[in-house]
Amino acid sequence: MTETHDTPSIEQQLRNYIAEKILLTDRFPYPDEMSFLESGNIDSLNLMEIVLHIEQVYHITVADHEIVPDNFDSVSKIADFIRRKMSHTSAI
Amino acid sequence: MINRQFATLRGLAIILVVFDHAIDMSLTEFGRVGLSPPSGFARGLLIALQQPGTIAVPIFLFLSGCFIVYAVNGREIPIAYRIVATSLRYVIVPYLVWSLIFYVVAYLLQYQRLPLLEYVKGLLVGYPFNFVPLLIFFYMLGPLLVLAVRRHPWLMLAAVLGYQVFLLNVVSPGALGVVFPSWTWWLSPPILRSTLAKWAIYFPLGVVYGLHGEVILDPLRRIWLPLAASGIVLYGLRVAALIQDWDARALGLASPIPLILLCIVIKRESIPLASRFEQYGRRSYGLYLTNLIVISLLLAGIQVAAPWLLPHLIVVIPVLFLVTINIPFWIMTLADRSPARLIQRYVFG
Repeated sequence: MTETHDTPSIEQQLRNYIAEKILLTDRFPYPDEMSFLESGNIDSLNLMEIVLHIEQVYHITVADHEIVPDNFDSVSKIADFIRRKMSHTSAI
Repeated sequence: MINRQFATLRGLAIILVVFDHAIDMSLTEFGRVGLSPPSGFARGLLIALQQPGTIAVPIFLFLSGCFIVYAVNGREIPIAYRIVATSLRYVIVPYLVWSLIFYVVAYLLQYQRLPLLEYVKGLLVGYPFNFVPLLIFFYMLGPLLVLAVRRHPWLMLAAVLGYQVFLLNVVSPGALGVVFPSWTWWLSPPILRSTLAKWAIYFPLGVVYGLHGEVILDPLRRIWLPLAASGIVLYGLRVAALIQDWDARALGLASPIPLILLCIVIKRESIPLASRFEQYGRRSYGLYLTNLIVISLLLAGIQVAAPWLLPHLIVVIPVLFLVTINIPFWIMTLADRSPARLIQRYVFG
């Protein structure tokens, strides 16, 4: 989780956002692979907040059928999803 | 399947709940202080304004059904139940906290003094937050319901709807035009019979949509106009029945269904003030649990400080609504930034 660039990684940005806006803590205290559902940290309302947040910040569009745990159930899954969407957008 | 507009719908639902309660409790206060209830046009208008509130609990249950699919579908049953147990912490603890506060407030305001056992019974059956025990029941049933609905969606839905219609006539004999034999009472579950009679279909409907949304969505989009028309007609019939004091119980069961289906096809972008609704939606459980207490205290305050205001419902109801929706919202927002945020989810969900 150590950052080597001045620009924070997508994971770091997500950790900061989730800690501040959803967990209401100073830092994100879990591993990036931790399942939000199994840990009980993210509910349906938080999920929609995250969807709206990443759309605004990363200028991507999330389709309804993409809102599934495979894409949104951990920091690393969300980061992978964002990268896939961004690479798809830039390819277009 | 979870849709983008669900967070917006949740906000809309809580606003409708608070508005409904602002009207209902104002009228109850009218009766308590001996004022004669509104009649004629004013009565009809209040009934018409109150009825959209009947769609709120169906929306909450439907969205919860969709979310349980998101949370547990494809997982092993023990893991699914661990997720359910974790989620339920943030449903049950706030429910107990605010129910107890409500009982204390009602006791202090002297409009309700009951034996201790009645309060325990109230907690079990969900007084005054009557849909919470039903939500807990469906969450606990959730992992098994998801399995069953995955295999037989329409059969399960038909079975639940049939049982709900049966229960409606058991709980409200004659609602369907016939009266069942008295032994049928034993076929209705204690604690949940009234809430199942009103809302049994909506959580399973959410599960069906959560699992099979991609198949259902396109056909629903094609019939959005008939759905909207039937929702409006049923709403109009229910309002007319209530104004004329006709039996509107069966209409009460049917009228939210087309509107819920319509909610599925509405796009978030076409909902005005969507992001504002979402802000309230994020606090919806906390607002749901606090609204009756805030309205009770406000009405008591009006009685003490400005009793001349109470007959002016055109002022009282909007004031109750705006204060009740916004003061707890601001408190929750402030709590987010305070040390209290650590227990926030145990208090407001």
